[in-house]
Amino acid sequence: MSAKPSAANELSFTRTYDAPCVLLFAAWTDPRHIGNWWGPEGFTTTTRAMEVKVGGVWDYVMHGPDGTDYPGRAVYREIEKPKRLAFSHVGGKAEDPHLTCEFCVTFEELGDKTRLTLRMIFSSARAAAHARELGAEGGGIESLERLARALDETAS
Amino acid sequence: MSVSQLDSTLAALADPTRRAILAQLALGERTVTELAEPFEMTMPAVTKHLKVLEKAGLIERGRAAQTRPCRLRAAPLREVADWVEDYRQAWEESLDRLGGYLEELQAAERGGGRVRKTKRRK
Repeated sequence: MSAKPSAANELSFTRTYDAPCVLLFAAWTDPRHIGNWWGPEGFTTTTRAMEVKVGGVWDYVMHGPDGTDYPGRAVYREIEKPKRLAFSHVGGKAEDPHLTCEFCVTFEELGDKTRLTLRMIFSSARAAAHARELGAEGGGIESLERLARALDETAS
Repeated sequence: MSVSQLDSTLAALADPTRRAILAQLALGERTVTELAEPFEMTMPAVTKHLKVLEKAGLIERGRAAQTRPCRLRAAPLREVADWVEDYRQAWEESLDRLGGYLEELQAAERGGGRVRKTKRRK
């Protein structure tokens, strides 16, 4: 298990689970399963609709331990059962739900186990649209962290 | 950090030229002329990018002199980095839960988890 803090607007995680690929894929794409683990500790998730096909939508509400609801919406971009899943995700609080993140999940069979790699690229609805307009790939901010560090060093 | 502040920071950072400008400014103050040089861009084009960065609070312009040198402001950058770190924590937890849930599912399939593992798929 690892998380790379390589780029400030991008996160990636790699984990190996003692379960077959198909089960992992189902855990992400079956409304009966996903609500059982999606979200941090203490959260629950209610699926309102889930249509797993390219362009299809997963519409859900995540309930925080303090009673706050966080509606979320994913639009599937790529589906390659049981190996790969990509979707654009918009979530946040109901009054301000425009933070966007591109998810790319791959499931790699390793004997009886499965290696999951999750990549998330943060953006905003506006930033993502802008980046696409400019033909920029993903709108990454790869140098952000280095920049912040340089600032820490130069600040006196 | 408010979502709208985060959004405007991310929007400002989505453009590679603006990121390159920030990288230049990380080395120290620069005038618009100095900033325009490495990009082979016209002054108005650079000024346009600087306005976006200034609006997002990522840079500030000196008031003195005609050159109005640009300086980097670190706070919004750090806020983005902190916010992403919170998100990372949340996902570590979620992926832990996924592991626990997969174990439960497989234990149920095996009939209480006592039976020796057989490769079954559902």
